[in-house]
Amino acid sequence: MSLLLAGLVVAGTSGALMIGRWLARRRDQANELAGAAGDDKDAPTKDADEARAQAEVEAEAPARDDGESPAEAERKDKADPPAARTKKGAARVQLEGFVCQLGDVLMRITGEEAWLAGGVVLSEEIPVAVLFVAPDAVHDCVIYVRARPRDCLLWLEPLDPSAVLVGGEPPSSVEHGGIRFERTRRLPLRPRRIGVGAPDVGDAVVVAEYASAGAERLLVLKANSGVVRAYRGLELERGSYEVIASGDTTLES
Amino acid sequence: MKGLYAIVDTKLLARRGTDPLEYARALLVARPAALQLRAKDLPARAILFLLRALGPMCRQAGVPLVANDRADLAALAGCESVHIGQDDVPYELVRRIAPQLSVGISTHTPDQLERALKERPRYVAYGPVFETSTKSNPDPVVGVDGLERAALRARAEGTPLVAIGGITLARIPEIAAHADAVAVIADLYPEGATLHDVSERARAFQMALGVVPRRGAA
Repeated sequence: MSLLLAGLVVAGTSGALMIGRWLARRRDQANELAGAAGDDKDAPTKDADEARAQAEVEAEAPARDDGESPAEAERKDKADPPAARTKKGAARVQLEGFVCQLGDVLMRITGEEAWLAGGVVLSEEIPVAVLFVAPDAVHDCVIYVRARPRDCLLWLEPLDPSAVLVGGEPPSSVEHGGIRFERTRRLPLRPRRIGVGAPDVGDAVVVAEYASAGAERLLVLKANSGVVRAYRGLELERGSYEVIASGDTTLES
Repeated sequence: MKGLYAIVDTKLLARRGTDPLEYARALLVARPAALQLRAKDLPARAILFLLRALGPMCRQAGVPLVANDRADLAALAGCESVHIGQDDVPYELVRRIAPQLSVGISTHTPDQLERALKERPRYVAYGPVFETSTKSNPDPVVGVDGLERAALRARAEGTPLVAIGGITLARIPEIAAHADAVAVIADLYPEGATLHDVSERARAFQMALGVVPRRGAA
């Protein structure tokens, strides 16, 4: 009897230990995730609205020419170079909450224009930011937009990454062109290329956003493959640019 | 593509106080081979507005609408074609970004023509054949001889050739044999002409180029 009792006690103890270890592992994983995003002062909260937004994006994004499933779209993203995509199909990717979409034309009050022909959607649980590329006959420009925690649109040009990296990493602050930039966010994100001409940044990327005391901004993308891309430009205020939406065409009307 | 390639030049029309849409309507009566909106003086939103208004008019007339320079606005407006110059977004890029657009390319030298023909565009434009007053920085005149040589190359490649630059109704007999279509701006709308006159001149260009007028008005 005592042997039976002892056996039950041992089994119960080891079971409790296993459950305890499992709980601890879950806690550690949660802490790791929190730590990874911890540098993001404005990391989006995962509330019900965002979950709905994500569901909308997931539902809209694959609605291209042939209504392919999200899984098919994901597979095609990996298999097909963006160059193989048609703008017509790609332009149907709806990025909920962003001030502009793939295929739109941005116009600054200073006269510059950008045709958002391609981009990299950067996501956590939901799309956090989009890096649009705008081809031009003279020089390409890049538009970086965030929807949360507030609308923000940066008009950027490519920069030699070595000018801003320290030891191969995006530092917490950097001086470039006589201006001091402080890092405001450091986000580990999942990239997904859309449209045409988007840079290949692998399947995981750390995005470091920098701000000066004024409107100057720096952006550094470090891919898990080791590729680094850097951009510098200005944050544009609402009212200093206009978006011509690509949604309605005369063909569709 | 054969016949008149009619150009709606908003700068010229602004000088005459003429509504571009009314002018386009007058041109479409003649059912030209193509109608191009050339709006180098207008901001993007105004160009887009015009393209979107011209789209249904051109479709109803069965005439392809061509946007000048701006592949982005052509794509947004649902145009059939875009005409790009040597300094615009390159052909290959336009085809990748907006494959639904057919693309015509402006060329001014034999080298440019050869490069353009390799891309197999919808058409190549070549010129200026004569002195032109509607371009602020015109390229050197290629002349009728230059056009003839260009036509031989374009035909060999099976690509329609559009003659451009300084073309008038009176000069059509000189060039008609060397071009599939001719692009005209100023001579469609001489000083003092009415919109009715514009329709008649457009018809006259079509006749001179051997295009039998189609029935029905736009």
